[in-house]
Amino acid sequence: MRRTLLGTSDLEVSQFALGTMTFGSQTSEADAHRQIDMALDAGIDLVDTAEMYPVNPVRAETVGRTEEIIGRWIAASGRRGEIVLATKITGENGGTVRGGRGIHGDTMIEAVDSSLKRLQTDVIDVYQLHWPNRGSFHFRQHWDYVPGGGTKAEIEANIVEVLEAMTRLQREGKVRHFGLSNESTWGTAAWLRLAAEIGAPRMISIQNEYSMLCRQFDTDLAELAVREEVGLLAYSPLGTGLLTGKYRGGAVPPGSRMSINANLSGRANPRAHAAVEAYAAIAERHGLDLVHMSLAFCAARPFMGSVIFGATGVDQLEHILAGIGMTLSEEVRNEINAAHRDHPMPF
Amino acid sequence: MRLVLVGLLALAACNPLSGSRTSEAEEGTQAFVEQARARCEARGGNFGSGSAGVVNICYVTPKDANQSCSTATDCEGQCLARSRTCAPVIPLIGCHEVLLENGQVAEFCQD
Repeated sequence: MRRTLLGTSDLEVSQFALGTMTFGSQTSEADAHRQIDMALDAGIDLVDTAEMYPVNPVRAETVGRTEEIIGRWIAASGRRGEIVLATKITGENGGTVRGGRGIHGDTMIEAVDSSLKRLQTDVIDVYQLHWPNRGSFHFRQHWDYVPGGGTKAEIEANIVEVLEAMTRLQREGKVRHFGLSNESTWGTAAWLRLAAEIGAPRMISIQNEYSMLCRQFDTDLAELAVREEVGLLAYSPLGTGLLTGKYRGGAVPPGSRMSINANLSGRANPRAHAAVEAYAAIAERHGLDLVHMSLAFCAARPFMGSVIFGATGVDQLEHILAGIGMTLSEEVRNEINAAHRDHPMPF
Repeated sequence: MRLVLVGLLALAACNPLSGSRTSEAEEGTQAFVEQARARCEARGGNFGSGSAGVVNICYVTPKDANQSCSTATDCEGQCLARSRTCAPVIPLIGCHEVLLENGQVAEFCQD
């Protein structure tokens, strides 16, 4: 398993990471614990979670349940030192978490202590800001995005307040590094600039959606990530299951995400299904598994820190791990890029 | 039973020059701070503000940082209770669950 240094830090992570957002909803605790063991056995040590998990849906009464499940694994296994633990604070929300209050100096201090307690550990390796308080163009909001969330001065004042809390948390030994998520180029640049100005911790990663179906990151964010050394932690590299092929031909397997979220939060549409057919054809032509090809594509991108995949069940994880770490030939990569031109931005 | 220990780092303890006053700079001056910073960094420390943001502290990574521990006696600094590892930094600011010398869990808070 190839390993990468995340951003400008000394934190080394595996090039693939285990996502956990279904732990406690679609994935039972026993399966969740088994998945962490399996990932570690395969050389995957980055485990990504969030205070808000599990999904879907997000419910006030289940906030923190995934972290509790991971915490019980840590306590029972005694293997905290073998994983790189990443979690997140929730941005402004509809009231599910902290009555809707997002990321501020005081909420960050409170949220870290709560996560540490649930995770049964003393330190978080990467603490991420799940989404900006000001909103974002992610989660399919780019179709009618209008920059909002306050004036530039108000947004920057919030960033400075949070950077000061981050400084305190790092000094207290509770958080090693910090990262962004669902951020924009402007937002990331602002965090880096203001951190440098006040001597606060520098963001080492940005967790945004990235897959053969979602390549928003390929332009401005790609340049920023490479030049400024902010590694992408790619989420949904399998397009929330579309790139496993399980929804081909109109199939909706029982227990799948589509069976509980019919349009995959705005991703499932005729153009996305057509793109999947194009990528599946490439995989078949070269004797590759679509899942493995999709993950290998992501892993080879120049801005990649780590590729976060999730599995509902142990069987899916076994399938993923069977081909993890493969590389694609130049011919396959060229065909993928040609298919991307034919099927741009399907959602 | 869980103990709660609350501490306030005394100014003398925060004074990175305490115990080694060879500087000629007058306390409270910028030169004094810069000498303190240099001395801290010379011994591998990280000079920065405390929780209240008004006192400078020399943060040092102990040799046993993140190593296993079962009581406070196993560590240069604190023994963290959840992970049973020695604290990554001295002094340890903020509130943490720690193991005392007798192995009992206590909440340790220090500003």
